[in-house]
Amino acid sequence: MKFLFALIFALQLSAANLSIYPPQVTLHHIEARHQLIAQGDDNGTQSDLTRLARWTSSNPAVASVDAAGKLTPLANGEVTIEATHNGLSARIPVRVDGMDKPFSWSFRNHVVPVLSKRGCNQGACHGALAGKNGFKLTLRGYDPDLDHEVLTKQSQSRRILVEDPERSLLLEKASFRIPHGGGQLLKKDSLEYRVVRDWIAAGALPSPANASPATEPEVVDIEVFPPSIRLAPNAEQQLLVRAKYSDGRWEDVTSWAKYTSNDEGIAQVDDATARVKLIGHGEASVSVWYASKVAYARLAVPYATPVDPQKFTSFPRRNYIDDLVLAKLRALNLEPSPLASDSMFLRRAYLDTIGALPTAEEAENFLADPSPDKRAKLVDHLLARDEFNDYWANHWSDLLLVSSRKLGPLGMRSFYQWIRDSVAANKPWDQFARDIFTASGSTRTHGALNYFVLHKDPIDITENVTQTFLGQRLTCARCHNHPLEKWTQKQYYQMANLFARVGVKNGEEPGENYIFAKPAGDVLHPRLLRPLPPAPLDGQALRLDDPSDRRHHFAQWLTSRDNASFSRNLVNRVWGNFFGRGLTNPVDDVRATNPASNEELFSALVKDFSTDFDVRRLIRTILLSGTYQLSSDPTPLNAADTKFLSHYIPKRLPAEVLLDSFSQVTGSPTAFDAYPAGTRAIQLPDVQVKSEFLNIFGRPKRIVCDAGERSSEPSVAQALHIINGETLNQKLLAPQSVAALYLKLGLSDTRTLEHIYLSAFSRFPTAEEKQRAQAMLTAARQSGSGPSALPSALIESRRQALEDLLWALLSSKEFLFNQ
Amino acid sequence: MIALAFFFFAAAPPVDYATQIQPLFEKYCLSCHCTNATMGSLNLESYALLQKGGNNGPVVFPKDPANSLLYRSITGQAPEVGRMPMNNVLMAEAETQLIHDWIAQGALEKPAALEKPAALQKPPSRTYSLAISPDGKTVALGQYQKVLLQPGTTLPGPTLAGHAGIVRSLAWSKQGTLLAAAGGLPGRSGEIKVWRADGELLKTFTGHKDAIYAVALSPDGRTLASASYDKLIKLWDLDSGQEIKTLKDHTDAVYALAFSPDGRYLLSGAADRTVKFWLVSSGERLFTLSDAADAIHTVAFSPDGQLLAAAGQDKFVRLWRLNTSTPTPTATPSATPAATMIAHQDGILALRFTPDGRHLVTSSADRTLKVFRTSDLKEMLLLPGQPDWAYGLDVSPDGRRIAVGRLDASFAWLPLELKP
Repeated sequence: MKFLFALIFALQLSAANLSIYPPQVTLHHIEARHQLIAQGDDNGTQSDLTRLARWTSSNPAVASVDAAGKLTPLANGEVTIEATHNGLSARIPVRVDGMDKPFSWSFRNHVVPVLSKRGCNQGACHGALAGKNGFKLTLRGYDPDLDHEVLTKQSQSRRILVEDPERSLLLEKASFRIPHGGGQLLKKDSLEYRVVRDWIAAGALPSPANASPATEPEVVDIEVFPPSIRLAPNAEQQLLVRAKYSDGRWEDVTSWAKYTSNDEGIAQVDDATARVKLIGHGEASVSVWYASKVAYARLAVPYATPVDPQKFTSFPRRNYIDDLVLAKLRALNLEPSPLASDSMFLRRAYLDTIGALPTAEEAENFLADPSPDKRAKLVDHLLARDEFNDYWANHWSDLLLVSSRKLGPLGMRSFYQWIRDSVAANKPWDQFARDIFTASGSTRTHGALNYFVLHKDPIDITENVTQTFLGQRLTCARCHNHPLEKWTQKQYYQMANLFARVGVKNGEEPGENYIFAKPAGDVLHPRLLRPLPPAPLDGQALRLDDPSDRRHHFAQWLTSRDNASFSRNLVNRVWGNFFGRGLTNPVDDVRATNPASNEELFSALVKDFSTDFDVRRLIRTILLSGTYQLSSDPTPLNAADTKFLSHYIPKRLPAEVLLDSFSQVTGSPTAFDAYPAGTRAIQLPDVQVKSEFLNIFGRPKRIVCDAGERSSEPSVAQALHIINGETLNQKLLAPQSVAALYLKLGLSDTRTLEHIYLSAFSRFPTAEEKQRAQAMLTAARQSGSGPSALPSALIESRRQALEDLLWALLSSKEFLFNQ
Repeated sequence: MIALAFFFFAAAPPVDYATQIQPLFEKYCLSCHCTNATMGSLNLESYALLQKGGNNGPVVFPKDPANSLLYRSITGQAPEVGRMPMNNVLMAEAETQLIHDWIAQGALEKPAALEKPAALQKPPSRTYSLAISPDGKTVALGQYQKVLLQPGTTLPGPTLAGHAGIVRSLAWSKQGTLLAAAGGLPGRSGEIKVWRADGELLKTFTGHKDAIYAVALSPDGRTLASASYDKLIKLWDLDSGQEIKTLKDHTDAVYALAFSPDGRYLLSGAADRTVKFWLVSSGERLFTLSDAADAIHTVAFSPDGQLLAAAGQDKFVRLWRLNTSTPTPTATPSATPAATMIAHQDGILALRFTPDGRHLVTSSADRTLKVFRTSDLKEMLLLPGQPDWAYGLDVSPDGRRIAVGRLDASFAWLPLELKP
């Protein structure tokens, strides 16, 4: 019955267009197989017709094609393969050659991929650093030469028996003829078993006869089809993965690639068949790994409920951000929320841009301003405020780990001052980075150089710089090729060697250091035990004997316009500040295989930013966009969306901003040890300054570069601290608090209430709020007065009521969150 | 050119002189070795001229690339003529390999395999272990399911067949009358066959839960010791064929064993990075040496019984001095480090003392053999460019030659000539 439904559903798949991928195929040897995909397209929504189409070969004696679209070569020649479905048809040319040439399986191009696909060399098994049961392979086969030695030579060729291939321990264990902790991984009649067996039988060579490991073609790239696709709900899609070899040929590696879905709630992928089943709505990506190369396919399924088209046309389009967000919302059939109110926008823009609440006066003036361009004027006003410099200096101090913990007071101050001066001068981001990597001299006068006091050895610098400025975690590649990324261990140590000659020596004052370029020194590759030519990741290598300061070479590569990661990293970090989530998530992870929620938008922002690396202009573009100005109130149709920007997602105020906001609204500043009175939390250059409040609310320790260091997670300690803790209560009880001021000025209850609401929420109280608060204040007046009451009792009673009101407001979600 | 190789089997595809080798001569050699400029009296213009050789005699020894001047010179192993081609021109690895394979296949003008393709389909017989008989006249080669006895000629000698798997370790009795050959099936069981020198099978021992990697015969010829991947060492009574004891203390595969010259002690080395010292009579483990940073592959007693040697994956050769100055039944011997050296650039596979104990010979995965002076581990001789890993290594009783059996199925005698 279930099958019948599936059949009926399948037959309903209609398409206006049919095409076959890839558009042409060459089969190069007798063992070559190739998956074809028949893809239907109906007005932008695609469907996989591979298993429904009828496949035919113009000459089955040259190449045959089965019902699942799989090609098999039979003789040299050329054929046309046709797929037909519901009256539609498509054809591609297929060429077969090499059938007359001898073929043997290659260790690196076939055997290692089989071991990787079957999981033999994964981290939990023989790919572990210590191996398993004495048998140790390199993680996911990153070093085939080493694996070949281990398999064919180690322990007197324990695992490979060239004299009697079937009795090789490798095959006996993998096929479970001898008990194997990893279970049965190769069935005896499988292609994979045959690959390993035939390779052993041919002599278990490191590369096929007449080739050497140095000349054998290697995989240089992989490609997945479809790269990006929109499908109907509940659809299935076959993926095709092709590898490009250094000799220019392409081969189908679909069955030996590995697949992972980044959102199992939307798309599930079967690792054995490379078929994806879409089970939810939204967009997911499936990452593909083959031979240390990575790619991903993006699969979108629109939400089912129809959206009033007017919702899309009324989207406030102000700049290119909005065009690209709207395109995504249309594609996913996601309704945008309406524009935020003036007060919502005002409070949001203040908090996100300068880390401070608007005062009651600023809020009242803005709300009263009738001019149509008042939001744009506000944006320019905020960008020019001095608090902007405090807020972003704090932001970049998190990034660069400014702290007296390792730097001491002098280093911490000069590092911070350099950052703040850079923000104040709106130093372009490329110049900002170059300041660090091209300067030499005193850390007291060149604050940026404290970077090299924090990160002293080349390994630490390498890992920090890639995280800080490129949004990539390189640490895996320290011990082996990165299992998820294209970075190899060799590239890691070439990069590390760029920092082998950074010298640090004591300066004249305590805490002062001199940074200089040493004339010699190299980092050795740990296994090759020799230095490799220094090179920035995928950049050009320097000669080992090049006498120039290697950091300059690095800085040039880092800040080059071609280095997209440099801009992606910064754009994502800035974007994350405003939207609470990066275009890739987490905000400090922009590696190639971490798919963006809106890649077109991300690319456009990166392109725009890399024209001048002007951070303030980037912020302005974001603030002015209609997308940023959408309401945080979700509609029933977009409430499930957390990443496609259909509405603004509220976020808790950062620790420093929250504390400063308490101070501002209550009129009672917090004092910090050894800092002048009136210093705001956001202005503190050092995270070593004692503050229980800041620690509880997630102030980062600035020890490792990781956006997760700043926590926005709620905790019981936070709740208790607000309800019972000393911070808020002491501010309310302070003799000079705002409650005292209201009473002293003798404001009316109405005016007092308005002032409180404007300073806490940047809005006037609603009629209902006014009524309830008024009742409370009236009651306080009554209980404090009476025939026998002292005048001070009235003051005390009214003050008590105001404190209660303020406490209620300041501990509310509306206050704690940036809506 | 004293050394001779007399056994070889090629796994490489057949190489054709006219289309594969002569073009290399044209590319690299003919500018100096032709009719117009016959340097070193060598002319490489034709196959016939090549056969005449030059001032240093023949440049190719058929089937013996390692000793052929042609191959040695292009791999930088011919000090008498220097590295060829001249002026630091480097031939590609595939090209030197081609010349290697061509010589290994007999340095023929027309490849034999093209006429008889079936001959090359046979899998190679790789050599996994090797032991020279005490009289120096016979070399035993451990191979898959058999032992080859090489009586010192170019012809394969008698075959001792019927072993269950790879013969991974060989040991002659002190008198040379018996040969113990051990191996078995990985993941299944161990096996030792004891042969008489005339080729008659005396006994078969079956035991252990995995293949045996080391076998040793006590000097009195009565006790057999075996070490296995199953982490155990077993002692066997050779006469009765009974298992005497199981020595259980290693925590990983045991790869190496050696009896002390007086037969009182047994030394073992294992993948658990330790060397252990056992009292044979009781089976008691007397001490453990845990200096190594990776698996131990090979151990040895010096001929005078005073030094213990071990080497393995961490590339170190380590020597300890045995303290048994006043051996009494109650005094427990101990050992103190005597010398340590990073001996190779890759793991060490085998180690032997010379009969006079003054030198140590090592074989490594870095494809070199080396000779060290025992007193200070000073490197005395380097034999680079071994075509494959050599687990089979032994020194002739006269101390003048090294026998090497390699995984690529090649076997060679190499001269052990040390400058005074």
